[in-house]
Amino acid sequence: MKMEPTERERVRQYLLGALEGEKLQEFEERLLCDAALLDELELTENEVVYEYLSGALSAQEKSRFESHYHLTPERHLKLKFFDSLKNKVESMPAADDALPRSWRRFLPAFMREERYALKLSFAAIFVALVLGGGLLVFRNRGAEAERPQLIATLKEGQERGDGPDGGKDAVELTRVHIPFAAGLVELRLPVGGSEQRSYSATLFADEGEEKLTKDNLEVSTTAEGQFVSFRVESSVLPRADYRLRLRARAPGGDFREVGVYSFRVSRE
Amino acid sequence: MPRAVKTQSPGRLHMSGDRELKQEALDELLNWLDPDRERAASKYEIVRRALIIFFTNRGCAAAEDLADETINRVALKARELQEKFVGEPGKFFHGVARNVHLEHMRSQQKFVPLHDNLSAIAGPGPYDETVYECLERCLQALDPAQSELVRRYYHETRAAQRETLAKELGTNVGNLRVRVFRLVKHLYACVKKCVGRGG
Repeated sequence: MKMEPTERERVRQYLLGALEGEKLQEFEERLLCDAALLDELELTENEVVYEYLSGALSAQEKSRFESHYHLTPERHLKLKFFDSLKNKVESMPAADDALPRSWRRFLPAFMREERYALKLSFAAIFVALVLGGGLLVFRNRGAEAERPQLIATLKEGQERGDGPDGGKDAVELTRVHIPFAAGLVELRLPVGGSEQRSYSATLFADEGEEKLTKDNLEVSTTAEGQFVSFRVESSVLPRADYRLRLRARAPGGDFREVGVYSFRVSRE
Repeated sequence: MPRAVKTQSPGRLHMSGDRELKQEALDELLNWLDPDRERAASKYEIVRRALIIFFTNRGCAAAEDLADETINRVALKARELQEKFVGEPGKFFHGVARNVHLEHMRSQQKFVPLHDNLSAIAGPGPYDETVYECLERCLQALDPAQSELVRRYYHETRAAQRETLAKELGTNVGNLRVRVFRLVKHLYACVKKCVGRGG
């Protein structure tokens, strides 16, 4: 029932008998196929009747109304109805609390539009926000799932610390106790220097069998220094001794070994 | 929706002047208005409403009967129209309505304009106690927020006041106008029913 002011004026002219000739015919033909125009006509008729009873019509409009607004029984009742309504609203006590105030009163006028397209836009934004929020939660949950349940910092050293043939470069074998059957274990491999290089690490079983290789490992920095994280599912690490060989990409693009980290896994 | 369609009745639609519109003719008319039956029924209602306004605005006493008479005449030509007529059905209805009106003018009673009839209405204006009492009853049946909205809308008639009211309700003046119109339409129907019962 959105009408341009000129259209409303035309409806008003029709009701007051001010449309003639082709304009009248054109208007009536449109009425015969336009439900919105019919609604507007009904709405405007109410307003014109109320304005007439309130003395709000101009002298010319009043004259036109009185000479053109034929009193059919229906219109007679309408006139009485609006006269009663006018008397009634004048005597009704105000009930300000009864009318709920909308939060939208704080919005600028154009935001208070109730057009379908605008509602659709707001709905789309709302859905996007909900989906975005959901995705964020989902990702956080994913990140939560990827958070290691155990972090162990290994020491560099090629020899076993408790073997009968431990050499002078031997370091104490790092013991990693895994108390759970399934979960992520993060093995931190300390590295020296501040160069930002790409690392690759391979996990070997004690017998020399290659179990897992990970490329493009990045260096992280903590208060204790720099380290490369090697994450592995705990199921890959049954009770045994292991060796992690860390290689770094040299400036020429080739990898060269920069450290070996030995550790022993114990489990429940 | 046309009665014969709404009720799925295979019978006849009663028209003015003891004439009847056969279901077959009504079907032809609806087909001409739109091949989709639902849309055709909706268009039929629009045409009928507009025709009643057409005749009322010309001061015809029996606007509804004349609207039906117009529809009747068009329906009898509907089959032919489907084959030959090109353009908006509204144009054809309008032409027929003008003929019906001319014929009616020659023979029928016409309602007098308002100023000729004011003196016939009891009292200084169109005030009517029954209507007033019915209105009070119908207003009481409304939700308090709805009756307060009606009160304020008709009490605060200046543009700035309406703008303030619309803002309070979180809408704009155009939407407020439509919202109140729907409420008043409901109230009017309630009062009409009440008056019909004798108050």
